[in-house]
Amino acid sequence: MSAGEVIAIVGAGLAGARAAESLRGQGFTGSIVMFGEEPTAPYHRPPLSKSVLTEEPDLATLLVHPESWYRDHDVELRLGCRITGVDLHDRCVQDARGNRFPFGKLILTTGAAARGLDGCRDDPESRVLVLRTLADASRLRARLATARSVLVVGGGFIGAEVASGAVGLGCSVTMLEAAEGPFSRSLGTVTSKILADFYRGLGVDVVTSVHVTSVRESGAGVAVTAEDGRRWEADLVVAGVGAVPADHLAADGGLATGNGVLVDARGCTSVPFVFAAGDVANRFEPALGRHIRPEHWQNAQNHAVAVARNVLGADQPFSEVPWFWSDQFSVNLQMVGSSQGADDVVLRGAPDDRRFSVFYLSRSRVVAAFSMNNARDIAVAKRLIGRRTVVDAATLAHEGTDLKSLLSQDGGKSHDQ
Amino acid sequence: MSAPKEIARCPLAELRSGEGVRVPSEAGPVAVFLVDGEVLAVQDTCTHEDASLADGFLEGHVIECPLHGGQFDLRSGAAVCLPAQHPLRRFGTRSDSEFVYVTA
Ligand SMILES: Cc1cc2nc3c(=O)[nH]c(=O)nc-3n(C[C@H](O)[C@H](O)[C@H](O)COP(=O)(O)OP(=O)(O)OC[C@H]3O[C@@H](n4cnc5c(N)ncnc54)[C@H](O)[C@@H]3O)c2cc1C
Ligand code: FES
Repeated sequence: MSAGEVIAIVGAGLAGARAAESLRGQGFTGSIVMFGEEPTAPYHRPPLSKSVLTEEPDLATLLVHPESWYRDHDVELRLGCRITGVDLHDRCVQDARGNRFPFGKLILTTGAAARGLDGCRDDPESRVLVLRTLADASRLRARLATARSVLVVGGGFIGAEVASGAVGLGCSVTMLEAAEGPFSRSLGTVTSKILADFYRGLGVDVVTSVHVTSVRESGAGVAVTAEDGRRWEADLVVAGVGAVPADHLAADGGLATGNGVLVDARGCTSVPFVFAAGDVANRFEPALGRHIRPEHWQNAQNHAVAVARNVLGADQPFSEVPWFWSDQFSVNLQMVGSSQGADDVVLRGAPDDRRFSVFYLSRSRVVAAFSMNNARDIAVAKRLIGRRTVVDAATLAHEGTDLKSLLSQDGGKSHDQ
Repeated sequence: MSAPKEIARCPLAELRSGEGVRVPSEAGPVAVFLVDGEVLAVQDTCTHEDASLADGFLEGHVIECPLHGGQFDLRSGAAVCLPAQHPLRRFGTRSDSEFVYVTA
């Protein structure tokens, strides 16, 4: 790609910021224009459901790059600018006011948007809130400061972190989960039960198998009703029911989509000069032989760095075992891999000590692991997954086993079949 | 240049290959590692946020931070994987039959 060419990046979040950084790091000297709907330069979202719930943040500590970085690296950052159309024929993007911006190559890093509940209003007075942006977090912090009771709908990680913050502020917290237990779909019943007990022990009222049918604001509170007639009332409702990929722009422009923007292992969409990275990208993962769309911070960052190189022609497939962490109730949780298709679950350590790991195996190979306060087990698991090492469940469960020794066991060779 | 000053010590018996030991010092906590028979000492607190690298995962000369997976080369202190971007301070070491001495 020659200097003088323009690379447009739509979506100014972590993936967008890392993509711009990677382009400049690779020596690209053409123009880079990045469009962001939010008024803030790219920032890290993980603190929004943690420290930011209770303390007003120092914005500088949240930013991916200081604002001066964009000037110093000649990246044109257009904030408060929502892109409403992509014209693949004329190679330009268009904003809401009809301004058109030409590009040579395009990177879509539009991320995901919080899924709401029927009853969520986009109104500062609303008592039914979601959490995705800095503005959402500020609104939630203000509400939490005076709330006495909070209903968290959805037992996901963000919901659990909100529950943690609310309990810390002295609120009485109820968690409503549609499945048979919190995280039961992603972590299975063993881990789900451990976590449900953990939350209950901390005073959270965990209610499972709840299908919420109505959320209604009344006077100073909100009432939530379930299909089976059960009803709860609280000062505040927080929806933690997941996120939807922001892929309409791509779909309307004629790019292939399906649970996000479909990209190959290089991050390339169905059109050779358009790429996508981060939460919005449903990427082909060579190690699994299928598409995955992790919604995690590490994926957004590393995928964007790799895709930006491919935009410049590197032609290197990206492959990474998904990993994320969550900080809540004074413990550090980490998860690596995907438990989908696991045929065995091995517990290591004692949940009561708040230090344990759960390994998910499929045909004697680790496919995923979850831990509480045990990052080292996750570091080993990540490598066991990557190397497809065959392990013995009993050895894994035995606390005397030095997990690291499993890594050298087969010299890091893979067993394919 | 003045002779390096001893700022911390760690019993040799506590060092196990592939693991880190955290020792307090006047220059803040130091992480001491034994890598292929060589003793390497760096600042213990990750340069990204607040995590102890002695609790990290060591593979070869590279330590991976337990919090966000940032990586550093212990020989140079250099950050080699995001989100780590700033190098670690390195310390000198010297040992006798009983202790490893960290010097600055
Ligand atoms: C509250 C919260 C807590 C989290 N905690 C953790 C955690 O502890 N650990 C972890 O691993 N992950 C965590 N995550 C996930 C992590 O933050 C995301 O994976 C990451 O932010 C994805 O980055 P992204 O750049 O792909 O998308 P985003 O961060 O969603 O950024 C996309 C940006 O694009 C903008 N945009 C979208 N459409 C347009 C358009 N048409 N025109 C212009 N701009 C547009 C959006 O406004 C947004 O600013 C958390 C997420 C949230 C919301
Ligand atoms: S604190 Fe070490 S990588 Fe973040």
